[in-house]
Amino acid sequence: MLTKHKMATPSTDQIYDRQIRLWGAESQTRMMQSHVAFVNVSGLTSEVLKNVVLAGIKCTLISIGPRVVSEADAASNLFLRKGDIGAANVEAASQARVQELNVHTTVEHLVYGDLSSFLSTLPTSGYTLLVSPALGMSTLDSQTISSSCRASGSSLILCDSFGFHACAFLQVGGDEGHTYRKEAGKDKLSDPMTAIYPVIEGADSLGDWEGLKTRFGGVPKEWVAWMIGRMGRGKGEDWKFFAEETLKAKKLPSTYLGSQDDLAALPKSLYSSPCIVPVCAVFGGQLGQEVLKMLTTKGECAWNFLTFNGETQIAREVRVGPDDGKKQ
Amino acid sequence: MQEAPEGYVESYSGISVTTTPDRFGVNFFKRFDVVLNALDNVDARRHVNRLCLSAETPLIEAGTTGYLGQTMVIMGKQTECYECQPKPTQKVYPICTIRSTPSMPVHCIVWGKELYKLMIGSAPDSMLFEDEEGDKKSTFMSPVVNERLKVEEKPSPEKLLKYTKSALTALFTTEINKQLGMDRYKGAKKIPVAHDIEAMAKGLEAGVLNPPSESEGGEKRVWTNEECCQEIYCIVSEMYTGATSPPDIFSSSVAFDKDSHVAMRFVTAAFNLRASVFKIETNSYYTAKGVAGNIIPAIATTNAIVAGQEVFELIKILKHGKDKVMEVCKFTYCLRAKTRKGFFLQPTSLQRVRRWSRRGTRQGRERRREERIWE
Repeated sequence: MLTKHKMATPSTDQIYDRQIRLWGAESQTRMMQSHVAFVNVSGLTSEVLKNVVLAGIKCTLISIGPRVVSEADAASNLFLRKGDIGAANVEAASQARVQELNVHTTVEHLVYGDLSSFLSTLPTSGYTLLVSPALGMSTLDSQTISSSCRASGSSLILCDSFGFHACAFLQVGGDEGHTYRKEAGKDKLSDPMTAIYPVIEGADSLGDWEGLKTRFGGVPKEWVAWMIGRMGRGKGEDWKFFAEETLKAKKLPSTYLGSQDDLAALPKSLYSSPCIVPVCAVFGGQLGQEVLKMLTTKGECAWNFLTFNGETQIAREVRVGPDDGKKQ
Repeated sequence: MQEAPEGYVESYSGISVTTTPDRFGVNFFKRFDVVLNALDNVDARRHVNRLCLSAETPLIEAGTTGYLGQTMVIMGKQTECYECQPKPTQKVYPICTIRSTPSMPVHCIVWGKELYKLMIGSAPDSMLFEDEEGDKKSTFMSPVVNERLKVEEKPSPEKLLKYTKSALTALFTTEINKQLGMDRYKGAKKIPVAHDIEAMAKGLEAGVLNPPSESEGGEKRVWTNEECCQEIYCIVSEMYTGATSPPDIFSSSVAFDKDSHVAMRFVTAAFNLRASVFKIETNSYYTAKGVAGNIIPAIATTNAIVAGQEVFELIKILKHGKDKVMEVCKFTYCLRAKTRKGFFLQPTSLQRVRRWSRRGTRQGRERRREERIWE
């Protein structure tokens, strides 16, 4: 499928003047030649979408499966209103408002019946990056997306916000890894470096989470909550028991995520409550920064998870791997 | 675009907080539980800071530049305020550097802005203006200012070209040679070399206007000296033939504004001619605009992070009360690259207030006097 990309022209230079002065015309052109797909837009990914569209990057909104607008959607998604509740499709209802943010870039919308029919288009679609929530799908599906992206060379961000926290998995580049240059002072860039990003199956099959601790502290609780949230989808009544067993199996204390009451409250914030807007704004901005680094290849991207804890307001990288991320 | 779902939004637009103190004084700020700033200049921030201190209203202050940003909370009697730390001020260059001994591109850009005022705007407002009589006056004053043509006489293209050539010769040939003759630059690292304007302007034809700024990629590439002369001639023609009288020309309303295309074209051409005399690096319209206009780069991502952080501080103040600001609120930097510990956002404690209450100290008395003005 041939897609026409926009080039930086004198008229777009005017519009993007303030951002071109930051990252340069070459980076602007590289971004305008990128193509990002947003699958099943959530509260958090709607913030990332806003940042990407404003930067002048072409976006496609992908709907997979039933996408009727719920109350939670309308309360979380930046592009939905109360009046959209009950509408047939979240992405369709959002598209016009997304486009309104930037008439100089393209915002498309595509609909697929299921994940596999979407993933079969990846090799020819030319998407530079896929952004998708993960808590709404099984771990198997997220692993399938991850390996399909790796095979077709598209980068991937899987991310969710839940309560006051948020978490993201980053997979940049394909088998050859992601080559970038670090910023080393004013207007100076380092020599090219390459980082290999593993597929998510590696992190999912890790047997020991206690071993992820560093000399700066244990593995962040929000990461643990997200991973258990992804694995525990559909457990219903048994969720609390499943969470405790998983913690034990991964060599963490069963009280790692708090008391019995704290554990009981988690499924609601993981699966059904609307997102908290400032959490989405802050983490959506952080992920937006990562997207800019990925597409411009300037600056070092987080490897390979990024988390935000709304109680401490700390955003940090969590190096789960496996592999150490360096090209051999 | 957005609706305010449950809340109520009242907006006041087109009014400057700093110039309407009766309406936006302490009593106005006392109405609010919390004030959030999203300002773009130091003066306005100082003003709101003082009013919130007097009104005893917590103020959430934030700012961004490119990839970097920060958020903090100011609460009188608990934390440091906005003015407790010195803020970087606008860089001002010595007059002699601008007028005689430039060494950096920015000196030449500032000179270009002043020449714009001298030639097209209100000449007495320009740093380059001199009203001394006799030998002390610079050689360019007469050709540039005194010999200005009269708009109402509708000068011909030939007259406009003659004026331009005469002004440029005075500025870049005669005056430079005069200074060199006075051993002004003896011992300087780089001796300036006067331009041969006669030769550079040879290709200019009266009435033929092809400004390099309008050419393909004209704003991004560096113009030659010949092109700079051409650009200035085009601008002089445009300004004279387009004007009816002041304020279109020769008035203080013709001031430098980075968003004025003609002003930026002039400054770029003048800056390049000046810089090449002094063997300083020349540059394009695009780059000159960034320097001349003090343009701060801005992107959506940093603004989103910092704005979101402001809301986090708001939630804490509303939850714990304004008496607990020092304990619960944070100073957060938004970073480009992760820290050693892998952090991208790392809040730290706010700085405690400095006590000015010491009786008898001059600083304490001055500070208290200032505070009273705002009550």
